[in-house]
Amino acid sequence: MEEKTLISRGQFWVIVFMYVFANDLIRGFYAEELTNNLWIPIIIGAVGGVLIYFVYTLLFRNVSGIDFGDTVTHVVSKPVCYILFLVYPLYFLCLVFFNLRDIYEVVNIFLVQEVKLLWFSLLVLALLFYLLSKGVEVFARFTTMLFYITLFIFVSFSGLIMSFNRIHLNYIFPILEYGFGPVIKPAFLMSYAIPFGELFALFGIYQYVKQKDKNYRYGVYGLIMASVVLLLITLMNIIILGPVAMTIDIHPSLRITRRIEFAVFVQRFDIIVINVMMVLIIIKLAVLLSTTKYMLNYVFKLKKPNILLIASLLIVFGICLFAPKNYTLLLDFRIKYIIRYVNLIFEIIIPFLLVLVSFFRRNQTKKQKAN
Amino acid sequence: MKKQKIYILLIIAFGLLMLSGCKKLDVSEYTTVIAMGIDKSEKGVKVSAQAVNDYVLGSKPTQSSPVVIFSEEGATVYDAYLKLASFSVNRLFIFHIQCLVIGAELAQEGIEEYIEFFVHYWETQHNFNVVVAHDEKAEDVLKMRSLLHNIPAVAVESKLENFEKIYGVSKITFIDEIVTALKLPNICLTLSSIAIVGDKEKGKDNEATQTTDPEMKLKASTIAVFKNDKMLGWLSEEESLGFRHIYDKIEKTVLHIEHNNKLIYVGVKNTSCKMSFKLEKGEPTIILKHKMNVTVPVEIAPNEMNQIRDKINEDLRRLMDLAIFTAQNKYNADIFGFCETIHQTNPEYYQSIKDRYDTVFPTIKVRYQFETTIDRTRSK
Repeated sequence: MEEKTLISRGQFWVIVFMYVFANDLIRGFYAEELTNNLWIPIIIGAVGGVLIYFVYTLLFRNVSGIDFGDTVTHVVSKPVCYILFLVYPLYFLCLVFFNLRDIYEVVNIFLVQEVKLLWFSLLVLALLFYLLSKGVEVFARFTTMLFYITLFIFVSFSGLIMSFNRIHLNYIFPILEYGFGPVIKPAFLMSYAIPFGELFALFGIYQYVKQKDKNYRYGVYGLIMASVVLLLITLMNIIILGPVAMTIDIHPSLRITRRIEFAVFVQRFDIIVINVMMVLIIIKLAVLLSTTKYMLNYVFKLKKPNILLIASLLIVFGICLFAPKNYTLLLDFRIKYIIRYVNLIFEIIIPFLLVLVSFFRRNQTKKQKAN
Repeated sequence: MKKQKIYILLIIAFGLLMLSGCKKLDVSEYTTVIAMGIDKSEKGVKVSAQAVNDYVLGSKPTQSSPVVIFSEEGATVYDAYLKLASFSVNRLFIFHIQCLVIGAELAQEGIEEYIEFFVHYWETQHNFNVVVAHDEKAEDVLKMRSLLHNIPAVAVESKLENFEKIYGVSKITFIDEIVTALKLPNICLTLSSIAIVGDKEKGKDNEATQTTDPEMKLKASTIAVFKNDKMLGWLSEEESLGFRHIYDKIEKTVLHIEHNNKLIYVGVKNTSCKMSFKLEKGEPTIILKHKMNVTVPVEIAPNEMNQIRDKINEDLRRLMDLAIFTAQNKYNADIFGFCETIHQTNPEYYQSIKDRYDTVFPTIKVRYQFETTIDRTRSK
C-alpha cells in the first residue's frame, strides 16, 4: 500500500453514507413510472445493496489479511488482476464523468447559469486532485466534518418542510396497485446501480480501515443510514408534492426544498441543498478516483502515483470536452445502457465471479495447508 | 512539493477568475416581480407582470407608484415573458412571485399549456398561489391599486388567505397541486378567484388609494370549477363553503340555525372531513365523516343540546348537498377527489370504472356521518 496512514471504522461508515447519499442527485428518474410506490423499491433496493456489499466482503474474508490488489491477485492471478485493474479505472472514470455532468447540470440551471462545463470541470477536478494528493486519511477527516454539516442540514430542512407544508398521507395509497411486478426491476437496478449500488469502488478505501477483518459491518451501517435518509426524502416527496408533481424533477431533494417558504423570507434553501449536493458528489468522485489511482498504481507501480491521478483527471476532462453537450441525451444513454449493462457487469457479474473463484482458492489454500 | 502547491493554487485562482465572468447580478440589478397574470390574446397569450418599484419601498418613499405593470403578448408564455424585458431597466426576477392570476377567458379555453412554464422554469419557486380573475382579465386585476397595502399582489394574497381562514370560502392552491389535478385522470381542478367590484377604470389611478370609499375594490371571490384544464364555471358562495367542508379543513366559518323562531349564527372552527368509499349493494358510496367544533351564542337547556346539534348538522348537510349536487349534475366534475378515494380504497373497482367515470360520478351516493362538538353556549 502506498499510504502508511489508516482510517477508523467510523470514518469508513461516514464515507459510505456520503457516497450513497450523493446518488440522491438524479435518482428521481425512477419516480416517473413508480409514482406513489417509489418507496417500496427503495426499501427492497437498500436490502439488495446491503446483500451485494456483503457478497463483496466475502472476497476479502476468503483471502484475509492483505490489501485489495493482492487479494484480487491471489484470487485470479496477476495477469487477470492487471487486466481488471486496467478496465475498472475506465469504468470508474466513466462514472466520474457522469456524476460531474449531473452536478454541473444542477449548478448550471439553478446556481450559476453562465458557467461553462470546461471551467466547472477544471475546477472540480483540480479540487479533487488537491484532496486526493493529501491522502486517504485527510479525505476521511474532511468527509467526517462534512457529514455533520450534511446531517444537520437534512434534519433541519426536513423539519421545515414538514412544518410549512400540507401533508397528504393518502397520497401513499393505493399500495402496489399492479402487484409486485413493476417494482422488482427498479428495485434490482437500485441495488446495484443508483442509488444503493456502485459500491465496488469503496473497497479501494476499505483496505485502509484499521482492523479491516473485523469491521465490514460499518459499511453496512453507512449503507443503512443512507437508505433511511433517501427513504425519508422519498416519503416527503410523495406525501407533500403528490404522486404527479414529484415526477417532474429528477432531483428529489431539490424540488422538495423549494417548498420551504415561510413569511415570504424563509425560502430559497435550495441553494444550500445544491451546495450539499456538490459536496456529496465531490466525496463520491474522490472515492472513485482514489480507487482508480490505487488500481493503476498497482499495475504500473510508479514512484509518483499522482502522475496516474493527473492522467485520470485529464481523461475525465477530455471526455467532458468531447462528450455530447445535450444532458438529456446523456441521461437517457446512462439509464438505458450504463445502468442496465455496464453497471451490471462491473458491479455484479465481475465481482460475483471473483467471489466465486475466491471460494475455490480458499479451499485450495486450506488443502495445501493441510498437506 | 512547494512548487506543486503553487501550481494548484494558480489553477484554482485562474478558474475562479473565469467564474467571476459568470455575471451574477447584484440585487440592485434585478426588478422583483411580485405577481404575474396570463390572458388570452390574438398572438397567443398575454403575460402581465406586477413589478415592485424598489425606490418607493425604500426609506425615502416618493410619489411614484409602488408597483408597475408590464404586459406583452407572445406565442407562448416564455416568449411573452422574455419580451417583457423591453419595458424594464433591470432584469426581471420572478422567483418571489406571490400569486399567478389567470384570466377568465384563458381559463375557459384551457390552462395546461400556459401553466407548464411556471412548473418547469427554474426561476419559479412552487409556493405561489394560483387564482382566476372572476369574469375579468388577469391584467386588469393586477392593475388595481390597493388602499390597505402598498403592493397590490400582497393585498390580493392576504385577502385570499383571510377569506380562507376567516370565512372558509377561498382556497390556497400551489402550482404542484394544479399539476396533480391536471395529470391525474378524472379528478377536477378547483381554484379560488378574485373579483373586481366597482369601476375598474378608476381602480388604476393613484386616487383610488386616497379615499375612504374607493370606487373599485378587489375582493376574494368563490371557487372556479375546471374539467380537464378548462374552466366550466363558478360555485356560488354557499356551494364553495360546502365544497370546502368536504375537501379541506376549515379553520373558521359560520352556519345558521333557527331557534325559537329566530335565525341565529353558529361559530364553526377546526373542521375536518375524512372520505372513505364502500360498495353498498353494488352502488358506489362515499362516506364523509365530518368533525367540527361549534359555539352557539344562545342559552340552551341541556335537554335541547341534541336538537340544536341536529339543526347545525342539517345546515351543514344543506351546504354540502348543494356543492355535491352542483358538481354531479351541473358540471359533472369530480372536484372533491372522490375518484382518488375510490382508487386508494378499492383499486380493482376503480380500474373497472376509470374509463367511464363521467357516467359513474353523477350516480355516486354520499352518506354523511357528523361529529359535532358544541364547545360553548351563552351562559346566563
